[in-house]
Amino acid sequence: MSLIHAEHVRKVYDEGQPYETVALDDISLTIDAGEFVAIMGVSGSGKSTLMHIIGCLDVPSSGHYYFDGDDISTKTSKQLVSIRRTKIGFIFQTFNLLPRTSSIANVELPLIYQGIGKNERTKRAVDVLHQVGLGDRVRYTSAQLSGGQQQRVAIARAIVHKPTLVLADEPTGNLDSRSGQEIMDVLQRLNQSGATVIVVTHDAAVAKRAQRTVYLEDGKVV
Amino acid sequence: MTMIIETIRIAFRSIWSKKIRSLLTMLGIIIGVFSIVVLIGLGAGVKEEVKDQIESIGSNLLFVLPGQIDSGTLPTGIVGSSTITEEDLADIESRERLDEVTPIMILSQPVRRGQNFAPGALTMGTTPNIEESFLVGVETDRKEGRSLSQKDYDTAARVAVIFGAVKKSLYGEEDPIGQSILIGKETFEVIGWREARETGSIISGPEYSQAVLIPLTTAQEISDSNEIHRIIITIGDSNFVTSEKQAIEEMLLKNHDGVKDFSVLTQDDFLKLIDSILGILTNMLAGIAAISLIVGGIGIMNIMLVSVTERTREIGLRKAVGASSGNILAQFLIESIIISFFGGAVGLTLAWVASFILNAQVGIAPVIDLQSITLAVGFSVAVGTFFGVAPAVRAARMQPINALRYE
Ligand SMILES: Nc1ncnc2c1ncn2[C@@H]1O[C@H](COP(=O)(O)OP(=O)(O)O)[C@@H](O)[C@H]1O
Ligand SMILES: [Mg+2]
Repeated sequence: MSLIHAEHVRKVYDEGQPYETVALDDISLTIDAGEFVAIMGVSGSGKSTLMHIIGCLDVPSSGHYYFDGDDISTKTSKQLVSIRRTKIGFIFQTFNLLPRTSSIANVELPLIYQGIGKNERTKRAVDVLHQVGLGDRVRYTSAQLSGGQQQRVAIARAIVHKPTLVLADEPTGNLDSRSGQEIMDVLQRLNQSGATVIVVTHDAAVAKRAQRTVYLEDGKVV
Repeated sequence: MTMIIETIRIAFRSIWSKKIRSLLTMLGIIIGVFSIVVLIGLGAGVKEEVKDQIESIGSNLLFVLPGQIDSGTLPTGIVGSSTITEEDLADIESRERLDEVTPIMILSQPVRRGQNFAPGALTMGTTPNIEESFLVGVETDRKEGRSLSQKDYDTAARVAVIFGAVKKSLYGEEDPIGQSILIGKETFEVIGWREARETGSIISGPEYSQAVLIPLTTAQEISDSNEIHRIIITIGDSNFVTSEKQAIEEMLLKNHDGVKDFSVLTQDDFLKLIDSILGILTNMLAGIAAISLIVGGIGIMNIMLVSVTERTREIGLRKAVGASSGNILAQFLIESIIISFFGGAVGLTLAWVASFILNAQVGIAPVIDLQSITLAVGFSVAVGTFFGVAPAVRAARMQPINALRYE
């Protein structure tokens, strides 16, 4: 069974208002567990909106979205939280690390909301930081890290709870090409170790690292 | 359980990361709690003090005053035209059980020596027994010269016994005995002076140290009136205080044609009177202080609303990685409660320090007991909870995608 299955998904912002925006228009898409998929498109084509729906941060205006066999459109926000908490990891273009907070504390955030105790949290956070090559930076705050290092902390945070799906929305958009390559290396290794990885990008070189690419244009798959 | 501890830890971290702002936010609560605790404590402290004073004058006294005085109303008409007559005095003096009956007429004429005035002096025309009856309860440190005598009384002599403050302002360190003072236009010879112990009492203290005693007959002569402003009665056996009070009341009521325009008060009545006056006063002040606590609460709400807006992205991120609305609600609510709780604790500590300072400087120690502590801390936590709800709900309601897009 496929991990991600969208059927005629439509997303309209400010529906009914004169300034309503159709961000996604009749998207149907299937992604299997273990795939490494890139989503490409120009700015405003609906990539982030699609990511939010795939990541259960938002629900479609119409159509159906199935995650791991569950129909997401019928879930309450409480149920969505518990899906995100256990099965999904997010990486953002702007890192979104907590300011004045150490790498460890940032990385252990998802574990806090799973109710995992302090000692185990720290141990797992340090482990994951080693995996992304930041074993010597665990006490640094984001202000003390380079952009590439900050994004690696964010990746560590996205994978510390061993999610089945990792979503990265333009993870290399704010980085130089070398740091971008390193980030893609990490995501590729992550995929090889079994996680499903979806990367949004408008950089063809980045998309080339994925097994397949989905192109969006004006909210439609082309 | 771990979740609660974790939430408290998160709240602490966020308070700590903005120390100055948190402290300023606490300020309203600190001031509110400080003033409530000090004012309530001061009320209780003053009450104790006054109680001690009234008790020290002895429980075997009765006071007859003009005007009607009930618990809860301030005594009026003590000076000025009095409703107590010579007939009343004579009737009271005829009673068997009474040891001493001391009438007092208060003269409102300036006391001076040459051009030198004694500002607060209180001239009392009275009988020679005053120092054995009423003033026996007043502790005197020094007693120089003689007292008023029966002969002074019978001849309406122009003689005076002056008390500490009056002596000081007219004579300083000089010996006043044998010197003359002016009361109104009349010249008096000072025959004695007394140093009443500094009692610091609001009620009786200044009166004693400002007293100038002259014979009642003299007072009547120079004021050309027979008014009596107070009658102080000493009863040898304090068991009869209540029954004598009743009997005297009935007697005077008959004299006054059934109009109760006088009061007969026991020491107990005075205590109750003071109790209720100070009680009303304390509650009023505490109520005003409570308003400052509410203002402090509004300050917390204000800052927390700003903080929620500032931390929109943080909230979005927390929700994206698995925080429920309940987690976010708890985080911000606990932050408000911690701020107000510590504000309350600091306010309480300052009040405690203030009680030592007040005790040393003024001699009145605000009473800080378990009740005022629970009240203060409970009140501040309640304020923090109440005013923390709105910001916390606002944070909890944020949609993760909107929060993450927030600039
Ligand atoms: N929360 C929102 N409210 C209103 N309009 C939105 C919102 N999010 C996105 N949009 C609009 O939806 C369209 C797609 O946006 P987005 O998914 O962010 O595109 P991309 O990530 O490909 O740049 C854009 O026109 C954008 O303005
Ligand atoms: Mg985008």
